[in-house]
Amino acid sequence: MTIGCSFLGRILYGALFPALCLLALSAPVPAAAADAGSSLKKLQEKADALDLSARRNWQILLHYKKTITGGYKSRISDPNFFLSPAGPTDPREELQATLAGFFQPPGIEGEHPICRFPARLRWLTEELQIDPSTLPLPSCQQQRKLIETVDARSAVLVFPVGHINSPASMFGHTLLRIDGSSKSSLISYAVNYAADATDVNGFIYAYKGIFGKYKGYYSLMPYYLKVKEYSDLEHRDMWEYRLKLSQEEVDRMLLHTLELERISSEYYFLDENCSFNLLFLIEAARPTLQLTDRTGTLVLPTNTIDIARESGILEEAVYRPSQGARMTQMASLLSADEQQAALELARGRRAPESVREGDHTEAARRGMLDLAAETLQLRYAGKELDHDAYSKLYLKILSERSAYGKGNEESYAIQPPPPHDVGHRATRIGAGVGVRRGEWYGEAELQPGFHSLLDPDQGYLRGAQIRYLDTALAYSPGPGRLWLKTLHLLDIVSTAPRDRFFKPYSWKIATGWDTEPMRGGRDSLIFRLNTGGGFSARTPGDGIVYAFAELDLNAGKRFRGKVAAGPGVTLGVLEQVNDRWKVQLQGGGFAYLLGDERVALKGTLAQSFRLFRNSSLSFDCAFTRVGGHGVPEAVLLAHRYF
Amino acid sequence: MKKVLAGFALTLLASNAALAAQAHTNTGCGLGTMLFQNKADNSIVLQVLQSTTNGSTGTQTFGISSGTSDCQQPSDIVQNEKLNHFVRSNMDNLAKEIAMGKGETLDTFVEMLGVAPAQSDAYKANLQANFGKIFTSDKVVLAEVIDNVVAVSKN
Repeated sequence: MTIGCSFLGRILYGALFPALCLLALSAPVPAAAADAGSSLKKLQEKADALDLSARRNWQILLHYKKTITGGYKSRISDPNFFLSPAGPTDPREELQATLAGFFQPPGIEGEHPICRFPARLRWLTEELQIDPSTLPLPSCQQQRKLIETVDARSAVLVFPVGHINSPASMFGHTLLRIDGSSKSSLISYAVNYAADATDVNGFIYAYKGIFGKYKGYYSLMPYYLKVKEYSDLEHRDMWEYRLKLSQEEVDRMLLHTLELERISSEYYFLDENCSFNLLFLIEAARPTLQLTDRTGTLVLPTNTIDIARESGILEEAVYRPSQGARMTQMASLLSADEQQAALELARGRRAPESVREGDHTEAARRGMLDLAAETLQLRYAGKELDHDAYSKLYLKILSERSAYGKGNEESYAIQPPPPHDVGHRATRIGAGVGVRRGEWYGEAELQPGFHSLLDPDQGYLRGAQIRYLDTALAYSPGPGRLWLKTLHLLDIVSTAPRDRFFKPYSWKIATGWDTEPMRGGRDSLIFRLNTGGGFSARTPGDGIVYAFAELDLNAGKRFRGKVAAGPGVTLGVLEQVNDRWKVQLQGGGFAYLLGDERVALKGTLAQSFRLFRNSSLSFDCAFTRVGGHGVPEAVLLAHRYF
Repeated sequence: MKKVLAGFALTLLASNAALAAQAHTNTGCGLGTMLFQNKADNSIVLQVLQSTTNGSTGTQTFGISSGTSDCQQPSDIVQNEKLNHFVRSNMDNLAKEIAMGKGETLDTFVEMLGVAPAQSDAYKANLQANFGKIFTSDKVVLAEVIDNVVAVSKN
């Protein structure tokens, strides 16, 4: 039934439109209108006979999803996306109206349905074998220019990872890149989906985001702008997965993207977000893929990569290191003195010509200037100096650098870290046994997401933890008691090591319920809000040592006065002993000065063993001392990630 | 009183517009001006909330080649808006990579100039050797950079 489609992209946008435009000037209008009327009616009948509106292709192009009652509803509510008022819920009506729309006389440039819905036009033309000569002749100039400029040849799924000092953005982001015939991908075009959010008040932002009060829009922009946004000036590495799509499929993706220009959809931060909405474009490219109906209630960028990977359309990941990673590599080639010299160059405390002096190799002179230029960019980004001072110093350093040749091209190449694909899945369950004060219990735990400090790091940011709703239930067979051990609403820890060039702060925030000993020695479930800030550094073994000053607020019915609050200090070290074995040693002390006054000390030794990509063991020992009572505890758990 | 206030407001608006128009010429066309373009907000609260969201502003555009009309335009080369926009947006990295004689931004720039791959290395080496003739001062703007590149390439 279908015509071979490869001709379409080329013909429709190459030859057809200009040819038809010329014809339009001389077309006898009344006769054409009568013809159009009968052609349209035939096509509409044929579409009904073929039941085209029930086809998956149509449902993808209109973003329909099945409702519980068996009907359809489009995930897009913007009326501009539909040609029939019933369109949002009636696929057939919309298809009929779309066909009718194609036969409308040409009006304002670019506003004709033929210009606005090129992917629908293409598919319906194939399915109904529409004779292009029966259609009206809008010029669609802007669109043709855009298609020419983008020159789509292939597509790439891009995953910028999270920020090293912001585990909250450790979920990362995803976008698509459409490559043309250029060798450089920087001048390819990025397709991005984002919420148009202008609120800076966090609570309004969160409320609107979660309940879909923001409008999400697709946008198309040069890829170098996205690389600047993520990779430069931020420590966000990017992974680029080329999609195994044919030319025809890439054409379809671009055509559907064009249909979504200026079309708003409700942006739901948790599920119908940036990553989820990109899946529609991949489905539009190859309608046999089922991606959007495979997502859960929470869609993380990494989920979309997993889904795409499992559907077999991803090629191997290509690594694009961030500016931070590049600088770390540059610094690793220099001695400590040379690193210090680069820093002083970037601070303007040493003249660029001074690298000529002293006993340095040619490569080291280059390296100091290169590293100084990068560091200076970061200093300017951090507003450490003004524009004039920056550009003067920047040019001085570069001018000196230009005298040293290009050096070894390979020396700055970075060995890619393990990509996300080799990391554990985001949801963790576990089961095991524990003993607390000599009393045995069985434990079951659930960590819906995302990564804890002790989970295997492969594919994740080291030293960063973000967990939500992690829950542990315990059963003590002695007294026959089932009890809630912990339920953390949110638990974030960011340990960002400081070094000569980067001076990030570390921070943490956690809230939820914990089982804690009271001053009488008995356990009780308490509500906790804990937050702190501090510093981290690398250990000689490439682990992380950290120190936090914290504030701990507790509430519970067994506290005197129901509350206890006070400052505390936590010190710890996290060491990756080998590829599989990770150890965390941590000690903390809290002085509860408000409410139920007391001093609490806690030490833990936690270990985890990675068995396979998605399974691990953990063994934690802890000792808590409150008001003269000591509480020892040990827990052994087996974990599975899925 | 109302009329006076309205008149005052209008005058203010007009003079602001005039100032803005003046200040607009060639601002944002040199070094350091576009370094933060598209840079995400860095406050921790927003980052926490932006975690899965990537919410941001001004996102509706299909801007494939927008925005160097407020800059002085290069003279010696066929008008190429895509090249102008690229140079404007990547001026700092381009300067750095011309000085280093290598890098992706430089490769892209050289490709956009239509230099044949076989000549690319020699071309980049020539740009590096003439860094001072391309980036003539810290106030250099995109039109001058492109014109200077064309000039040193003719030699």
